Amino acid sequence: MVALRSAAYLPLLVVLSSLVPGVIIAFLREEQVRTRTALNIAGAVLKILLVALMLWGVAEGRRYAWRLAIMPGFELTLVGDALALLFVTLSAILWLVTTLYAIGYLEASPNRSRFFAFFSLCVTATVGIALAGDLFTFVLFYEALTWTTYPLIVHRGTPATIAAGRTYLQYTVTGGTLLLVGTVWLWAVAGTLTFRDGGFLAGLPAETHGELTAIFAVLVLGLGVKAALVPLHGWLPAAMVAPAPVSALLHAVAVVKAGAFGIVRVLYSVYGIELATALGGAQALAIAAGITILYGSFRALTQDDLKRRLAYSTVSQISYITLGVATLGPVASLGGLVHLVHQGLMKITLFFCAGNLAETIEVRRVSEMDGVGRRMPWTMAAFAIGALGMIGLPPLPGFVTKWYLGLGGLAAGDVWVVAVLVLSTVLNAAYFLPILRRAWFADGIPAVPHASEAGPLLISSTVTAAALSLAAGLFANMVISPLTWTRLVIERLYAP
Amino acid sequence: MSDVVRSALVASIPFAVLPPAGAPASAALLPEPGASVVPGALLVLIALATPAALATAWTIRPLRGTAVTLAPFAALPALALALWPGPLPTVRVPEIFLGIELGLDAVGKPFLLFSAALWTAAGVSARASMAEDRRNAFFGLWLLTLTGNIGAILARDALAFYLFFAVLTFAAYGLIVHRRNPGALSAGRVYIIMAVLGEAAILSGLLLLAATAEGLRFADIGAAYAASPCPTTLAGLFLVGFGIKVGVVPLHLWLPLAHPVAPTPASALLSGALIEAGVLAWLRFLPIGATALPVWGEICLVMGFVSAFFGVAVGLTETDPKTVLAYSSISQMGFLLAGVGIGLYAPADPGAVLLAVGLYAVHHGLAKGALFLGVETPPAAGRARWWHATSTALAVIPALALAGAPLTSGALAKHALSESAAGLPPAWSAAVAPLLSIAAAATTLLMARYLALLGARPRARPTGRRNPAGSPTPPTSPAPPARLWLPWAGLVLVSATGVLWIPLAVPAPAGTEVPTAPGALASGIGPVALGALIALIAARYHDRLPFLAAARIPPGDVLVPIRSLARRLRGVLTVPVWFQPMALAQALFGRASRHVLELGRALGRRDPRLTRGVIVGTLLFLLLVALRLALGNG
Repeated sequence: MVALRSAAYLPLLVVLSSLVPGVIIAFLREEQVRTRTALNIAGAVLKILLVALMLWGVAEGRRYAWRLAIMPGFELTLVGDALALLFVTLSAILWLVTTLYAIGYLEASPNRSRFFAFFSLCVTATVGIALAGDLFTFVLFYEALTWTTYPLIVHRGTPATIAAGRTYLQYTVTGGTLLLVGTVWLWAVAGTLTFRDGGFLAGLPAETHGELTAIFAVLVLGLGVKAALVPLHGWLPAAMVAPAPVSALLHAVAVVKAGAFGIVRVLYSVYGIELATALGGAQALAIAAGITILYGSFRALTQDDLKRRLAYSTVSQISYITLGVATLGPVASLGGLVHLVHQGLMKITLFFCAGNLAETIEVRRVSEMDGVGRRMPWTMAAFAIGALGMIGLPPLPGFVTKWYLGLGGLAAGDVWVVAVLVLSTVLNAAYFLPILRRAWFADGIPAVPHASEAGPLLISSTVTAAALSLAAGLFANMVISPLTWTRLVIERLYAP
Repeated sequence: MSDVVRSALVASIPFAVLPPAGAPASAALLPEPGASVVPGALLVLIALATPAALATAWTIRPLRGTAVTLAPFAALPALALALWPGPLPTVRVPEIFLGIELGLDAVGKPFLLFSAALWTAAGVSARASMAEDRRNAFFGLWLLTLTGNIGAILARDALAFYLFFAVLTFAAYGLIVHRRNPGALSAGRVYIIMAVLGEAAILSGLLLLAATAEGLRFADIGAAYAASPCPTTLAGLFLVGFGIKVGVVPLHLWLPLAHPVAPTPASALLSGALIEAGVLAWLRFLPIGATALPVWGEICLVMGFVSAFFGVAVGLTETDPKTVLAYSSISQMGFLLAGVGIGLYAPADPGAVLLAVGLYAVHHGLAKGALFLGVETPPAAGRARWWHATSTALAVIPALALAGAPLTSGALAKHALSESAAGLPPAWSAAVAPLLSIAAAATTLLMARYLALLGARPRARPTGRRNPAGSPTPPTSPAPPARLWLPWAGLVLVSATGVLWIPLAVPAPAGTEVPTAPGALASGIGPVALGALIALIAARYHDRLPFLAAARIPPGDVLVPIRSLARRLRGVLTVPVWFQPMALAQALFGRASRHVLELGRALGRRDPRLTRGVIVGTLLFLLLVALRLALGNG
């Protein structure tokens, strides 16, 4: 009994494991490096342990729920189910990797206490989003994510970062407002906001459907800002001026993922994919995702700034998730959901590499990358894994995603999905392969020293991220792979 | 969750990537029939794991030297597997990728045999001829390409094949651009663009195939075509997608550029082993013997013979022996495409087609490899007499084999190919044999051109090693060192004795047998004699036919006009914006995103009126919602 009751606190503990260190770090003095580092790493490791415990329990069939009544009718609800854990696990693992990277990256730069405090709070908000058991809790953490990310984007305080931060706020606050409006409206119509597999709106009478369609549009527009759906994506390429660990956070761990995960929740736990399809919202969303995939890739083609090219690549890749979950059927959902993890692993690798290049040898543009493979072999090997994975070559995880997305599209009768995927593959190859060719097969500036690899912390977190990416694809069928867990998620979603 | 739900779900996710209920979750080795096959299963794994492990070791700097030393011999376990007499099991490795199956069957065996032999010979040759400073980079990619090649041959299901084929495709880019000069980089560019387009076609085909297939084992492919609503599209996607690797007309553009610029041992592999991996893919992915696709059958036959003659015609105008050999490959792959066409046309007798294509692949792979390796150490005047005689023989024998002279492996393969045409409609079956004869004469002519160019080269480049200060080879050396020409000689020997060992080593599918009758082996005598006669006449009188000598077609042939057309089109397209989908899209979406941005900016500027408007609007909206709530649900 006691064990059961303490287990119910697990979701809360997962949230607290980064909230508490974050709050403490905020009050640390700048020179308390050891305390800060210890807190950071202890929090991250503890979170992974707690998540592992929850993973084990959920795999055994348990469901963790923790509630706190805030005001009449509204509860803060944290629920650890299979879908939530997919996102929590990704965030927890990548948080540890990114923390290590950030410690190495920000060595001897000012305002590190502020940075790491918000860094931890940002992950707290992300984990809250993942574990939210109802739309109300979701919105709370979603807004919190906006405000905790802003100080990280403007961390350097240069005019460029301030401008990017302003753009970020303009977009995300507008999106957040729309989400709030949609949520209140939904509450008015349905009287509840608690997530349910198959959707809590599924049983509503047909005369509400008009209103529900409008709400769907409002919610998706609100979430689409963070998910970088075209034309709501403008903040993401602008935010690439932020430091590399923040880019990793934006693109892989937290922000765009929160948007995409929100869309997943709206489709699966609020509306239910059947109702969303009946309303026509799912198809519209799928088409928007298809357009975004191609548009992002087209824009990436012409970017010379490496991080900007990667940012447009994110715009494109994140919509794989939306495309998968908005397409009817378990197979497409499998492809979409598993990309939540796959995109995170590959994109964090790529942004770490971009950070290594910029910090170590001041290379920020694709046109400056001739011969960098010889100078930074580990970094560029990791980059190659990330880039080839994004293109979707087997055995890398991008292919696994594409495979199930394509099969799911065909199963749903949407042949255009395959066309989008194939075209996107070609476009991804068109903007990633030239980078690899320059890095590995072009002769660089002879004046530079032969090998100048990044520092040990940077390189080890980069290589870890690359190794995780490779393993996620090469061992996709293993018991502990993202694909296997996503299969569990799909089994539970489609067999309530 | 109930078992019923689970099994329904498992059925809805294709290809039981979930292990079926009750199956062990991690069974590394599942030899299918009985336990006696375990040594074979181990051999299958070792054959693939050896190059893969060496490639992994290569990435670790302290082990790199060892990996490079062992790299030339990395294909030996595969060779042992190809010669393994015992029964060969299928090995399931469910943990890797989406679960892969490996094994060797009658279709794969000839491919493994010649590929492993060729990789070994070329590897020893590369080890000897490669400059030391570039050797490390070369052999890293070499090992990766080899892993892809062996894996593709051993794959027993479509996804595993696709996996290894992709490794092969992208790693081979590194071999092509190895020299890093503008020619190599430009050839690499054409190669990679076409390879990516090929990948796109293959991926589309795979998805369409999988959508209706019960499983993706090669044994299920025939049934998948039968169940597919679009078998013609499927076959087309695979023909084109893999055809780019094979290099048949009109998908050959990269081939004559890439094969000559690569280091010679890599050229031998590209022309011998890699393009034939594409042929194996056709045999695997096309419904030969299951579904008749006469339209594609006819197209393949036509394009096959077009390739056969086109390759010779363009090749005769070339001046670099390696380019001549590259065009010869285009020509030879035409025969294989014609063979595949026969299979698609007349599925009644698939065994004969599979046998013919297998024999032809073995024959061409070894002969072409030997011809390429011969380019490095050609017969040179002024050397010892024994070397002159030996090297001339070494160069001439595989050329004769390729032409299909009597008692060569070429005669064997061509006879089998012509026999397999028996099931075609009368018009085609009557045409195939004469066409093959004319093509054999044409090939003889092309080989004469190759030998003439080889003999005309002033002096053998001794090693390909960088010669400091351009010092000439010391004239005291009577012959190139043995480590340079021994792999070549070995390969020529293997190729020349093909008639003797191929019938023993290549398994004949049920209902067929490898032709061994003397008549069959002498069938090529007429065409080869004719070709040789024309070559002699041309050599004697070429001074009086200046237009012959003047005819030059740049390597890559139609790529040249395509490039200039593309350049001109780019100039035209920049004028009106609405002709450019990209600029149009940017204009459209750019404007839309700008609107949203402006709204946000206005908010950010704290425009008091607008802010007030938004606040009042939101409050009104919330009020309305509350009202709706009070009235509706109350």
